[in-house]
Amino acid sequence: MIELTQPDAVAETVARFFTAPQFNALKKLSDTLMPAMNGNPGALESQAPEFLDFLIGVSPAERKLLYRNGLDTLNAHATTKFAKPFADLDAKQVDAIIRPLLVATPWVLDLPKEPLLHFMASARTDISEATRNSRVWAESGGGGRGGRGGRGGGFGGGGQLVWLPIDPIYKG
Amino acid sequence: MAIQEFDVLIVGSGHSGGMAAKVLTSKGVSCLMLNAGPEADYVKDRVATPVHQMPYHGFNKPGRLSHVTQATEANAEQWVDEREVPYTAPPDAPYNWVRVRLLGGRSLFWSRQSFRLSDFEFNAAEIDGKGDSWPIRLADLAPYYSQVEQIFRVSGRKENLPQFPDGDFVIETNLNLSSGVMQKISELAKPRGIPLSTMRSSVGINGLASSINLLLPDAMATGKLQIVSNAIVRELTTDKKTGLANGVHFLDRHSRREMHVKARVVVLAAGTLESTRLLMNSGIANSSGVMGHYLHDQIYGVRVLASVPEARDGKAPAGLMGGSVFIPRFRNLTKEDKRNFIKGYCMMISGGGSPVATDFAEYGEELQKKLDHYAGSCVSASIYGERVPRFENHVSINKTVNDEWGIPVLHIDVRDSPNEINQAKDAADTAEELFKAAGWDVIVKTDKYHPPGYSIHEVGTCRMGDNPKTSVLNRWNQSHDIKNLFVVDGAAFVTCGWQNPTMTISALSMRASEHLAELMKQGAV
Repeated sequence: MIELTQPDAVAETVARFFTAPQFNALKKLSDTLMPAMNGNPGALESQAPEFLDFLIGVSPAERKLLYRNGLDTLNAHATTKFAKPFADLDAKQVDAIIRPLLVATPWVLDLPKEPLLHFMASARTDISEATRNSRVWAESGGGGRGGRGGRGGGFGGGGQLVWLPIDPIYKG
Repeated sequence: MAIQEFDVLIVGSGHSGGMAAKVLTSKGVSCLMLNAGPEADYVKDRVATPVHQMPYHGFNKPGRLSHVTQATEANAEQWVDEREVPYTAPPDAPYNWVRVRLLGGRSLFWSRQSFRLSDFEFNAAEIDGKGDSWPIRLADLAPYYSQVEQIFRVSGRKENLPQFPDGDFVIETNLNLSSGVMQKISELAKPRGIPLSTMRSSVGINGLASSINLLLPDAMATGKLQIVSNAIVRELTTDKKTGLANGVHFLDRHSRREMHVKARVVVLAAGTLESTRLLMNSGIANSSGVMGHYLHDQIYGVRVLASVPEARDGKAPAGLMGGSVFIPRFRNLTKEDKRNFIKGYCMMISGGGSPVATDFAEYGEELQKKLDHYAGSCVSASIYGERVPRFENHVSINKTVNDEWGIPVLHIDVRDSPNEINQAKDAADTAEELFKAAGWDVIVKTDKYHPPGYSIHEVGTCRMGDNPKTSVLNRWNQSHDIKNLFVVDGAAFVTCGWQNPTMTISALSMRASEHLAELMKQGAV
């Protein structure tokens, strides 16, 4: 068999779904919630925002709207409070905006009903998983960050047994 | 060559279908088994893949399997695709119907917890003061439980508790209270009337406790079983003169070619809701009007986590943390124990765990410090409880929606009652009180639970009973209306208990199949 190269090893995801202000806000949020730490790569190094741009872009409409509205709201709060977009805030300013929006969510299906809180709870988990499931994380031997374990991710690149399509129906 | 008419047609290949095949063929009965899906090859159909090489990096394809909380990108292909076989539910009453159509069904992937129901479940009407009892008791099923436990190689510890009937265990387990935290639990449990035991589990053979390795091979070895896969049964057919079942129409999963197969007896083992769907689409066996009703399962998700102060920051003394205990139902066992709910729940307590990021509101370095602080210092309680079977929780056929093969789908309408809410609250409060009495700090307490169906233990909808006006099946899983029709899966249940239903499903199928073989020998069917 010919040894193949995985795309993430040689290429970057092209972000197409979010607008530039939304994507910049997502990058800032990602870097804040999942910074590089203790020798582990952070969300930016792991290209988590780029991956989430792709993932949310192919998600059902409800999820797309959750993220777009959430990121727009972060930008709106930043502009109102500090007269600049979320991506340009310093750490203290970011904290002033996001700390009131973060709540513990011990029950995975009981996310807050309020849309911005719901967005923050979802984004926190998604950013963490996108980081921990990345090739960069795997190659760094990342671990010990207390993630949820993911939806099948969060294994730091460890192999899983993946079922291939089993006798798939030909759909023409 | 004339097409063969089989003695028995079995629809479904999981624990109940596999057991029916094993028992019937051992008695010389020729069987044809139809399974809706293909056979999976554990070697060819699976590949070790790092998560970052999966197309969605472990997130699963968005919008796929939205009601299967257990689905991951790695296991997505093992579940029935909701887009191929949809179902509907009211928008305010979500239902998680989790299915596997591979040969072996859900027996390929179950959790192995192996318990007997007790007379607290079989005789529920007397215990609860309301509802209905089974037409049988533990004594009727005990001989079959014993045999099933040998086949599945069940491990456990005898406790002599009426609510937690002992099995005939192949492997005896020990209650290990050697860790400091488990000793503490033990000290506090006894005065509270909380019994401690060990998990009971099917060990199986070579890592599998499934129909495909424990049941079907024996049936095939008799030469009396043939299995057709990729056969999607659309409806049962009946003799116009006698009204007896005489076969099924099925479609080839790939080509959709329609075929008919004849049999002297039909045994449905397609899983609670698929068996019921089939009968409803066939328009038979429902003179009682009860078919489709009393759908119920168990509440899963209640969780309490406490941190042991002296174990934080990685400073746990040797021997303090670790271990686990299983706590069977201890609520509503006597008339004196009056609660604001009926039935009960079980609890699993484990020592030495850690919280996860979403248990806290912090982020970044602050979050990491907190996680490091509590890592390995936690004792957790996970709780599973029994839902109340209610007539109004039911399924019907949605004639406006068909599946990929043109077969009308189910509409599932199930809602919880205050009983479930109160039971969950009591469970969380009890665990919290226990942990606080131990001197531990409760850092997570949630009395929330998954929507109905999540447990993958759905039962009811063709419940058994002695009265044909209030039940679909008799005490032998035989249709009251059509004597050569049997339903041997979870559809027959009257109550579900807090216990995993697999041992009971397998025992009932064994008992029903032995009875059927005897009836056939006598010429009674």
